[in-house]
Amino acid sequence: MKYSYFPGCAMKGAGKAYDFSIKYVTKKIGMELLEIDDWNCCGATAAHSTSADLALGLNARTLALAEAQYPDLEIAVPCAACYSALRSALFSARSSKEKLAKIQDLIEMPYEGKNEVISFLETFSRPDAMKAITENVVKPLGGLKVACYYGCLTSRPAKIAGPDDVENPMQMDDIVALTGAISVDWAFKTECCGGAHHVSYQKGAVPLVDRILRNAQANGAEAIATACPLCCLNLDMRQGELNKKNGTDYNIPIYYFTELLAMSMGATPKEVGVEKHFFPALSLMEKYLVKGGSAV
Amino acid sequence: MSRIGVFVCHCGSNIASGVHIDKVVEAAKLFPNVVYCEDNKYTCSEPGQFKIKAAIVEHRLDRVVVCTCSPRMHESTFRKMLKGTTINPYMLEVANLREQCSWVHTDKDKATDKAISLVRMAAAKVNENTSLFPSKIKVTKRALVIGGGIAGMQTALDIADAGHQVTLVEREPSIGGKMVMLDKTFPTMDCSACISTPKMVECSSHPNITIMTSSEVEKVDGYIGNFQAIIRQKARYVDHSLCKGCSDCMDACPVQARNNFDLGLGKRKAVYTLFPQAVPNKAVIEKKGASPCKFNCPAHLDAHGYMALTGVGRYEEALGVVRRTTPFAGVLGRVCFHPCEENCSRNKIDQPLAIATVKRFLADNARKSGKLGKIAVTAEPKDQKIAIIGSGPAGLNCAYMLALEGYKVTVFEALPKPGGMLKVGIPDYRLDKAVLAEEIKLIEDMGVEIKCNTRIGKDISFKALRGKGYKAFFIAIGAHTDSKLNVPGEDALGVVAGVDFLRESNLGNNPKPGKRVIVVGGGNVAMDAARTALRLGSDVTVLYRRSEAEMPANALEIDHAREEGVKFEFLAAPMEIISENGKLSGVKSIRNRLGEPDAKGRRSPVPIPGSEFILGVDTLIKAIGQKVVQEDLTAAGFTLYDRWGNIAANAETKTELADVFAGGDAQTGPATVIEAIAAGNKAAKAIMNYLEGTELPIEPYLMPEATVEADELKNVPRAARGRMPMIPIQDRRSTFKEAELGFDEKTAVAEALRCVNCAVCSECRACETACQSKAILREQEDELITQDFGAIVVTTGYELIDWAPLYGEYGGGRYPDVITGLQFERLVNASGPTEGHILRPSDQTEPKNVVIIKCVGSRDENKGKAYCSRACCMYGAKHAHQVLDKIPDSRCYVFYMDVRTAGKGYEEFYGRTREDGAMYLRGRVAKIYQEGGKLICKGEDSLLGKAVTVEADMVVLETAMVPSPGVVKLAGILGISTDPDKWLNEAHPKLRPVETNSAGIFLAGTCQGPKDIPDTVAQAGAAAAKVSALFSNDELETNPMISKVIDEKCSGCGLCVGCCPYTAISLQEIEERVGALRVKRLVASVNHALCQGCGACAGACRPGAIDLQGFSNRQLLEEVDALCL
Repeated sequence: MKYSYFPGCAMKGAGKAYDFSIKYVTKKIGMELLEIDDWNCCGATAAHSTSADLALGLNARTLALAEAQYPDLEIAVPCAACYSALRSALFSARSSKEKLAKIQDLIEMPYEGKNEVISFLETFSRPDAMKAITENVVKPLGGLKVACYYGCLTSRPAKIAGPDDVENPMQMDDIVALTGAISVDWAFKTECCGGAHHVSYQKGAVPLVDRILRNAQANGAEAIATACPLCCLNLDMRQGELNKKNGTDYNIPIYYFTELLAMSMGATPKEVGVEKHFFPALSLMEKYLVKGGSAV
Repeated sequence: MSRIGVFVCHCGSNIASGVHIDKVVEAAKLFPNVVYCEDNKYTCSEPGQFKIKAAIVEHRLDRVVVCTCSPRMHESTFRKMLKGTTINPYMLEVANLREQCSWVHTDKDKATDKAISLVRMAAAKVNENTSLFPSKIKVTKRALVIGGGIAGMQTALDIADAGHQVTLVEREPSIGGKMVMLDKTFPTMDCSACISTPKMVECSSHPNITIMTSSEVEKVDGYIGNFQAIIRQKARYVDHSLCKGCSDCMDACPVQARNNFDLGLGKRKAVYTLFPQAVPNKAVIEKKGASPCKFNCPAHLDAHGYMALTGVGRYEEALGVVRRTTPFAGVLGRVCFHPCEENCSRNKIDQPLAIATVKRFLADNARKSGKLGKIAVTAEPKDQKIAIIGSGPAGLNCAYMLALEGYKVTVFEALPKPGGMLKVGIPDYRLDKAVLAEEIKLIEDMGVEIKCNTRIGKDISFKALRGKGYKAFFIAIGAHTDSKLNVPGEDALGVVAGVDFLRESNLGNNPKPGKRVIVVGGGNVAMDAARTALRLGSDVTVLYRRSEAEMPANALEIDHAREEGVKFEFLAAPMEIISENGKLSGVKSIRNRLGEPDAKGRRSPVPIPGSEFILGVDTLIKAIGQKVVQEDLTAAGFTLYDRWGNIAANAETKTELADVFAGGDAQTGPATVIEAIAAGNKAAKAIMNYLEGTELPIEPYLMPEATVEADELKNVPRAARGRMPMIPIQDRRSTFKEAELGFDEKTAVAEALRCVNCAVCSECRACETACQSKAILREQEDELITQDFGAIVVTTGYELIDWAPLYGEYGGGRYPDVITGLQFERLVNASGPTEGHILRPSDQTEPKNVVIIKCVGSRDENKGKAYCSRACCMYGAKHAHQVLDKIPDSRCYVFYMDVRTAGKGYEEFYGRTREDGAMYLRGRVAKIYQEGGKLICKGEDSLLGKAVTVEADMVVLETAMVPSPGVVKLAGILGISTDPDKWLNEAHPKLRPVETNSAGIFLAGTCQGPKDIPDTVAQAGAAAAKVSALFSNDELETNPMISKVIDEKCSGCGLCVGCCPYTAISLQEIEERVGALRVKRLVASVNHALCQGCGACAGACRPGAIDLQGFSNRQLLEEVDALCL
């Protein structure tokens, strides 16, 4: 369990809770994340909508750095958007020799497209990680009903994202089940949350969050687990606003799946930044930690 | 000199547009021996053929080259034409200027050059042709029809009506196929059953038709007119000559199995008829083998059987199932370590069934309600007397089985009470001894005499017993002495053996082990001793040399011991017993670490030097294994032991003495109760064989294990294993009251109903009791039937595509109310699971908004099949009509790509459906999801250019037809071909639609491609006509283009024999003259009837002794020369 690590910019800002909980969990289960030295932003939506080469170059540079620094390690990426951007670059590099030569020209660095890029859902659902998680769960979240939200970019486009099912992925469900929480069967696991449109085109993006929350609630979820800072932010930020504007009664705290892992492993909610969410997420966790904790 | 005529065909413009015909004609005129050449617009037409015939006469031609299309197409046409002339039909060559020239080249000049070369080759070859004459073979006038759907039935009836014999083979237990599953048929809305069931009856009553259901074609040899087929009649476990179709067995069967005929929408029994109108109307049993619980039980108890009966509340029958194998239901239900549960398929999804506890419930329930009863002996009493030494589970079970057969059995027991280790080994808190006593009494009530306080070697001997008329002996004395620790000081007072300690306690002698007790060992005896000492007031520590993971004791026993307060010292072993004045005072031990795995895969303990420690102790109980007490037997004159000191006997319990048998712990070393019972049962069989001189199987009848994969269980609702109630923990620590209380009725039934019926049939044998005709054949096996046929018609039909893995966006099968069109047919069918009411499978309510989606899996290259499935537009319209007709105030939305209604009355039907109110939306559905009990369908109306959302109560997917499973294998057996989608290939799409490329094998119905019922029936009639035409001949002409051996050249090497795929070549002896001598030698010889003219032998023959007539070596060489020189 050793990976070269691309944290992504959000980890330093909006994704604090993700960052804290990742550090807590990886330390507990003995997963080593070696941060790529001098990594740069994946470019997010801004880069690929400006220039395909810009997006390719930004990500290829990071991949080339990783290849040079940790030639034997896979590159683990916690954010869905970064994951998609890096994998697209890898996919390009592997598509043909000509393409690879073009990339090398673009970044003016040696790069061979050797190292695999994997999502955090993949790193945590490998057997050794699952085993280590099981062994470290000391405060099971017994009975907490969680809708696992994967977002669109961890599974689409299928030929780039892989390896889980596009419509009904199960990796996060399986990981979350280890905490003693119950993952609910719901229909919006891989529907888009609106992504960066929440900044530029709110009118179009907010209804997307609305339908995700509605389906989660209809299927009995008490919380949503995410694996992407932007997904988490969008679902989190808009919930209170929707309740106010539309009169809905959503009460579904949004967590990173690593927060749930961390807390089931004994972290206090504050230790991993649970109080940092927009929509109050602390009280639900406290309720379950008391309930679940008594079983230990 | 030969006289060759060359006839070049334009084929309309097919050849003429790609090849300069005039140049070909000019060139051909100059070829050697060509005396005449002409071109013709359509050579195959009547005037074209007439011109050739005229030229033959006019130019005295003796051979002909026709330059046209592929010989596949018209070679036979021109051969037939030559029959009416002076030329032998085989003095013909066809140069293929169409498929292999004009159609495939774009450069006309180059194509012309190629065409000239092709003609030159043909002319060179025909120059070497010789006249060939076909021989005759007989025709077997019996047809084999494979597949009993509407196509098969119609074909069979039409052939039978023409006066020929037909065998109709069907894989399912009834003929009828898919059509009988349907409700109504478009466009006339005829009841499907009303028009297809009479056909089924007609087939079964037709004197010329033999129906073979539950059968599959396994192998086919031979050729047109003379096929030989091997048909596998699968075991149905019911004698159909006796079955009356009364359904008594189905009423008796406790198993609820998936009803495949209702496509999983309903349930049926393990013994069943496919549907009420089945033909033949006889029951069959679905058996996939022995369920894992039964298979892995050492005694092969019918665990699945009694679980199934318990689930439906038939406890007495269930107890009867246990008693087929053993009377010890109550005992086993408490103490068995249940390998059945370890192998239970539910392990793959949640937790195993609590099989043992349910068995305990059966016994406890019978006792509580006073129905423990007596076990009846129905067998005739027999005179032979049998002696059993030892009244443990092995001895008593052997006595039980022999008593059931009517033998006189005496059991001799050394101890004051019967039961062996059950009585003196197992503590009361695990097994209430009243339960044991009552179950032993059941055996005594059957006439078995148990003599306690009678020790072999002391009170009795084999010699004396033989003298008293005992004819056979079963030694089952168990293993009642301990293995030694082999450490200094072991003989100190206060060191006791686990078995001795338990015996004392169990016989009520109240041993007093003192305050500090150490138990050495990690097996079940160690746990029993520890927990017993605890209850006697001691402070108990278990010393085990490996870690907990290696402990051989049952995990639950370890947990219970720990709960009650037993302490554990792992990785520690005694080195020396310390005593003061001969009285034990302490034990010096050493710490271990785990080393390499030993032969059994357990890691061996390795002492850590310097880690010695001393524990103070009042009693040390050694429980590291038991051994057989040999002294008594030796005294009785029995001395046969193996190298471990156990009694030497084989797997069938036989010893070297013919009348002495042995089993249980005494023979195997310490083992489990259920293994002892298995040994007792085996011994009983072995003894009966010995006494009666029979050779019946020793082991109970057992089919191969029926395993179920986790994937098959993914839709089984999860249900937790029943919780075992226990007495309060303080009572467990201080009293010998039974710790586990067993299940109440509700829990036991719920537990039994968790069974997933791995083998389907539970082998409870309730049907055997219920059947008055005695038609159940429990041990039936498949049968292979060989029969000759003249023709074969394949009518294997279709299956619907498995849409679930392809369409995750439609829920991938997770939403119960998203169903297929065929499932809808069952819902709307009066004989279906809802008796014709359209109800949602999820909650049995009537759907008001129904969405129908067409082209699911068809016309969708990315996900399913590229082709149009052809019938869906019409049955989609029919389904819409039925929804609107049957459900008041309903709305029906049909998402479509195109509406294709080619057929008589079809467009009108579609029009009426729209008038009924069906809303047709042009576009695909992109996603279906569940929200608040509704299925939200997100799609597109491409005519409006807008996204649409429909909240549906039910969604019907009109899915693509795909070929029936197994068709590829069948095609291989028959030597016919399939297309890339696995539909069977017809010989020609227009001219030979019901023939295959193998002569004598025909096709009809959907095995050839998707089609509706009218087209299927039309094809069936056509295939029958082809067969009838074939059968109108008594003899058939054979193809004369077969191999011929030139004896003079043949060296008899036999290389050709091995390479012939038709086994047509053999070596035969001939006699020839060499100088003045007559000598005999072997040469190859070709069977004219079997040879198919493939030419493999000709290629293999090194001396060039084999020629394929029509393709002789000489002919081929002439062709090569014509091309190359």
